[in-house]
Amino acid sequence: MPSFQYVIYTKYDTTKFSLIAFENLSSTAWLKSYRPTKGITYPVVFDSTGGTFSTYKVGISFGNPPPSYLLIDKKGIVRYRTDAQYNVTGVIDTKISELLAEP
Amino acid sequence: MPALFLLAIWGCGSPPEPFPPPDSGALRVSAQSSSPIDSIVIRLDDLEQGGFANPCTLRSVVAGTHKLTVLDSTGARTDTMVTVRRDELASSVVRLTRVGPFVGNEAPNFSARDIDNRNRDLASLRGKVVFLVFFEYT
Repeated sequence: MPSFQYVIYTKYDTTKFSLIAFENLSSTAWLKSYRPTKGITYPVVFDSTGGTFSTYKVGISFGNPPPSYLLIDKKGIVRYRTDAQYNVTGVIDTKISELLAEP
Repeated sequence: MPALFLLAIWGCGSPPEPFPPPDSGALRVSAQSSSPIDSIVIRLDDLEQGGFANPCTLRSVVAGTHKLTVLDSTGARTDTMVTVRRDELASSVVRLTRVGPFVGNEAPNFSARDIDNRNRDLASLRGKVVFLVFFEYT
């Protein structure tokens, strides 16, 4: 997801915004080698047990094929979710700006 | 030319439709899931538009960006943003979410180590806007 690095992660103040990516099919070693080739600096978790995927019900077995994107507001409430959708970077960027503007 | 134009209108054979609101377009909505979906309920900006066959086309949608919510009879839903432009047909294919957490639910906590061996847990991020990305490289 290199576009998230350049369109979103480098745009927002990380004292007010966090991005965490989860992947569950490759390996820590592969992700470590892949990340710098794309210039990615945001945190990436290799979810080897699929625990967080399961917590958020991401996967074909849940009817929610990845990629799945969730936005959580300052109060810990899910404010946006999309599954199996691509090309939503612009929508997510707009939504993040709205959420950051909330008290 | 004006006479030909009038003739074309008369030739339609059906009463004229009410004029759509200015600055409006159409929105085609197609909902998908792991099982077939015959009918859907559509909300635009949290206002219910009614029940529709799936897929369907909403006409005379005010131009602009709207929050589109689509639900099926089981309550599976999705929320997304759509942009409708004047005199154009926008299309939105949505995949309904079968199980949550849904929009409006409290996000469940997690605790995990990232590939740099730093602990990441949601509870410690309270007060921030958090973007979670779940992806698979195959």
